[in-house]
Amino acid sequence: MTETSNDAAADVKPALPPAVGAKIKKPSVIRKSAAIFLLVLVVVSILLIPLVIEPWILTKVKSSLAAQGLELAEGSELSVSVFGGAVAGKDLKLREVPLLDPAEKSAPKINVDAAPTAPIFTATTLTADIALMDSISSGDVVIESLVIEGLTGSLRRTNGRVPVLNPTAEPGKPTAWLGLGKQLMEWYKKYAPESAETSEEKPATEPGKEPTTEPTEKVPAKPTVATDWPKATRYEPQPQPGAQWPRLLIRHLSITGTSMGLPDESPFDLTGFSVTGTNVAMRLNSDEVMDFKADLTTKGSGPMALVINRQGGRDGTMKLNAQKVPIEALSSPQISGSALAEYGATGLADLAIDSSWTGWKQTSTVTSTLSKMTMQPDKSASDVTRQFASAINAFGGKPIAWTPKLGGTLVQPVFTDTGMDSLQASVVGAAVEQGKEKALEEGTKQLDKQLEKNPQLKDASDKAKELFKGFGK
Amino acid sequence: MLTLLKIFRNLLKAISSSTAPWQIALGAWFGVMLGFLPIFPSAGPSPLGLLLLILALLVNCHLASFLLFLGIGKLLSLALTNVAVSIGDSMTPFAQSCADISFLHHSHWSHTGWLGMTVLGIICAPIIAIAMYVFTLWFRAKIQPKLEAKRKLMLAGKVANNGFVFKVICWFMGM
Repeated sequence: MTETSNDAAADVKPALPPAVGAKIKKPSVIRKSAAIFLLVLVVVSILLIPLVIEPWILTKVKSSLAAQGLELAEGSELSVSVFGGAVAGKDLKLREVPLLDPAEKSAPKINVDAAPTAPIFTATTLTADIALMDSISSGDVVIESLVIEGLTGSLRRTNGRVPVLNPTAEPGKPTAWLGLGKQLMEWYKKYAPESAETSEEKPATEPGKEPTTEPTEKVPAKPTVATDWPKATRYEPQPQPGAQWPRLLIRHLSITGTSMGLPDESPFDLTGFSVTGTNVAMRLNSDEVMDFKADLTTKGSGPMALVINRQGGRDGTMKLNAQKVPIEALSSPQISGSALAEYGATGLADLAIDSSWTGWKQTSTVTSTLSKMTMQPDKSASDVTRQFASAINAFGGKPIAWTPKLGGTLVQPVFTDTGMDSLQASVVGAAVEQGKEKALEEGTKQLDKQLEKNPQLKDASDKAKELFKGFGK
Repeated sequence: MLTLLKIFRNLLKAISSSTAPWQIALGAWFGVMLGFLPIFPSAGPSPLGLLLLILALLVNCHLASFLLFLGIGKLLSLALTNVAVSIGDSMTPFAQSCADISFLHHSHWSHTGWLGMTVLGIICAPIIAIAMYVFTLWFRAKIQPKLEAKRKLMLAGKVANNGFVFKVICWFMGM
């Protein structure tokens, strides 16, 4: 081809550089159209939140529950309002997803053929008002108000498994609440921020010496297999000791319920409860005051009342009142460890625990009146235990006051006063009382015999009985 | 393929147009970077990738260069997967420390594969961007005047050797 037409020449748009001397327009750094486009995109995104983000949050909630092997049963109504910062639920029923192998944690498979399980938790209403701006500004999850009504639940062990908590380490064995509590406190102490509010008092450095600071051991990120890239490794951050982590703060809490079954059937199963609180959080800022109150009605331990007050995360008080606690339940290894188990004690305890703490240091006073108490130590019990049990059994269940005192730390409480003085005084009192009754009984018998032999003395009998009644006073 | 060809044509047109060389270079840089960096991997969106994407749209870089080099970067990254993992594995302590920095962790720098890719991107992107800058200047100074002169000659004399191919080249380059 050796020619070009005028049409072809017209098609070609010359992109020649500007003529010499012409003013070159510098391109702007920012693309205005893109800025407008992004702005419009942001506005449209905000408008689409109710249509996209809110269903997405609900899907995330459901997938998070599914990851825990839980699901919301049919009929449960849960809604989220991002603009309103609220979560509302009605007739909520949470149940376990039937799994093929419940012990399989990494990739559990749903047993589609299994019938739906019974709900673990139910609630008639749930209302959570989230303080969005406070949450964004503080980096914490701040809930202005959380109200749950009509809460019922059962964590009863089925087939050796405890729902939700699922301590698979020892399947089938009773849950060791004391051990779990200690683990929780140890965890909290390890990962709680080392601040003036919670730090233990350290010994003062000697004059003239620089204060030594011990470097905190950093927990390295944990390697995991990257699922999207089998040859690669993904490092996951680990909680650091003393590091700040986002906290859950509930400014107003109110939960009422009618029943809550514990993993193992015990007198502590709840038959009614009411929990209220303000500024409820594991970790408090220095200017925050937490009040927490729980009124519990139990199946076999009578009513219980728990009141906790914490001042800025450093100081706090706790009062627990329980009037009819079965001693055998209280002394079970799962509740009180091995301290009381060997005595095989039965009876009722009217218990009042009054604790206060500053930092990690705590002092506690236990005021208890033990009634109808008998002890039957097992064969492996020591001689001292047996002697003590015999002494207790000798009083035939008379009320005995025992007021031990505890000190140490919240993580490791120790007896600073075993309360033996108060116990002995109470025992002596009971012995005197028992002696009086025996003497009175014996004296009455003797008097009746004399009256049978000498009826003329009958008039004087009332005076004699009065005399015995005054015995020991 | 046709889309890629169109984008490639737009790039060549840009080289021969009045688009500033820095716009082409910046477009290439953004494209290569985002070709190697994760944007929406299955583990979750990368804040760094999204930030670069928004910047690429917001800053007045050459979009055709950006899109072309995004594609080239993506193809290169797929080809260099094993190399990226090797680089990432050799930087294990750095990946481990990135896990503790939230922004970098979410940008997948604690993932040895993506970290290796990011390093490759950081190395390749400036080289390609500078190469494009220099090439644009060289093309405009050396090649474009010659092509223009030959084209003028063709239009004036209506004769030229191998005119069809030349016309296609000129059309492709937007001249």
